[in-house]
Amino acid sequence: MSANMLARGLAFGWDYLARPANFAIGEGLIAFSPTDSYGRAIVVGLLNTLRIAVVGIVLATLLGVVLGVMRLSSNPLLARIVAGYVEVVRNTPLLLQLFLWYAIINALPGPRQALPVGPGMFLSNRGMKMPWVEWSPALWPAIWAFVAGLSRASSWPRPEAPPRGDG
Amino acid sequence: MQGPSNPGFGVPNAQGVWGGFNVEICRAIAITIFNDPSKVEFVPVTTQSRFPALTNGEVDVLSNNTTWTLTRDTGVNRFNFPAIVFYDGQAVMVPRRLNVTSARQLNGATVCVQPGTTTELNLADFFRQNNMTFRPVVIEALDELRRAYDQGRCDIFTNDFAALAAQRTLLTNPRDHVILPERISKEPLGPTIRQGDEELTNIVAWTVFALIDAEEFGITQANVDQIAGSATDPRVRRLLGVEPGMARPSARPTTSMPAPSSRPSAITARSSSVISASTRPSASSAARTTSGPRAACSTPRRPADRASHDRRPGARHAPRGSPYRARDLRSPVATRRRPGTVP
Repeated sequence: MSANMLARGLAFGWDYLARPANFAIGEGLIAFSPTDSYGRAIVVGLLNTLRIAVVGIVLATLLGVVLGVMRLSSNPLLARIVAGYVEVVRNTPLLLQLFLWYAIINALPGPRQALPVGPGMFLSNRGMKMPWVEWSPALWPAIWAFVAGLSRASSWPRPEAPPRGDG
Repeated sequence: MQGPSNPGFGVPNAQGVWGGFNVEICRAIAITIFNDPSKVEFVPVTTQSRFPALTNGEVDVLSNNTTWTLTRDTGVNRFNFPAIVFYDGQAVMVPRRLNVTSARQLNGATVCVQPGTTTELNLADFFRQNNMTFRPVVIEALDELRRAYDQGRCDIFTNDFAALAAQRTLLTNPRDHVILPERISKEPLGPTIRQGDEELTNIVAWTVFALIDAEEFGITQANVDQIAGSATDPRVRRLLGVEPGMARPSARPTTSMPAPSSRPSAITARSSSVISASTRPSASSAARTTSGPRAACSTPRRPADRASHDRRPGARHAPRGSPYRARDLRSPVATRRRPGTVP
């Protein structure tokens, strides 16, 4: 079969992974330049996917908990508003929601007229820019201290449970 | 849903009829093979899907500003580039308010570019060579890309110069944008076909060269008969078949197409005469072409002719058994039949 494919001009093989990609990638957790290999490009894509997944999970959990509590509240207005929102958004296809958000983002102003939405945070059609932790080697002692503190805290003796009362 | 539009090269009009430079090349090829410019089926493709479509047989000729490059001609996916119809160069468009006069002042820019193109590769090369960095915004659909540039999602827009000029006319304020003078690369554009199809290579190449010759001599649809009757230049006489040996006058195409505005298409009536004598195209060479940035045209083959050439056992009894037809059944595009042709 591979001979037939080769005759048609379709070659299979893994050696392309080592060749330079010759294209640039817009965003990535690790540096990537056009001279890097296809393999590295795939890794950059994987890391981007993981980043989006983690951020998505965290934000969805927060939003879900808040909305859930609101819906169960005894305030009828709040409960019904959230119930309405949930019933509308539930089962709306994800692609449709993506289109909606893409259109909204495209309607935002350009980067030089970005909207300030908080201390150091700007919203434009190129995304939300906010100050973020920048990695530096000076963070290693802080991490060690945190880990040491956790392990020490886990070995503190627990207060004994009060005896089960009979009487 | 927005439709494809590459103004000037391949864009459907309000009635859905395709028009443009690449479209006319397709129609010329159809006239060469079938003497009928309407026997072309246009299939829109994107920059990422054009080569798989061509390799799989979904389309036969790719006529959408594809650059002739080494890796495309000789690499693992081999294609042939019979002729260059448009020799362009890559350019960059920026808004005027950036006050940029040269493409070398664009360090750190955010660039709108289509994926899967030589544009993307040349952009990376150019920025690397000039020690500049950039950040790509990669969108496959040219319309969406232009909209992203218009709304400021990216600072600069890069594409072939002619396509850039065409897209500039579609911006909200064309005068607010300027195309910088540098040509980042040379882009020989032409129809692309699968490698191994020698007949089609000859057909496409000499269709294009006949059109170029006709334009040089000033022959158009309107005056071809009059020139044929009164030409004294031996090259013109040979081109039009007045002197035998290279061309044979053939009947006018039966279907009338909307009058094309570009000159190369005006000679379509006579292009078939040149080709039919010198290359004797057989109808077994499939002739489906793609044109426009996302348009592909495909010409239905004549099953009767192919059956007579097909020497495989059982072919006479089952004209559907030819290798081309077997591939057809996989692709929904190919099974579209034009009214009036034998299925």
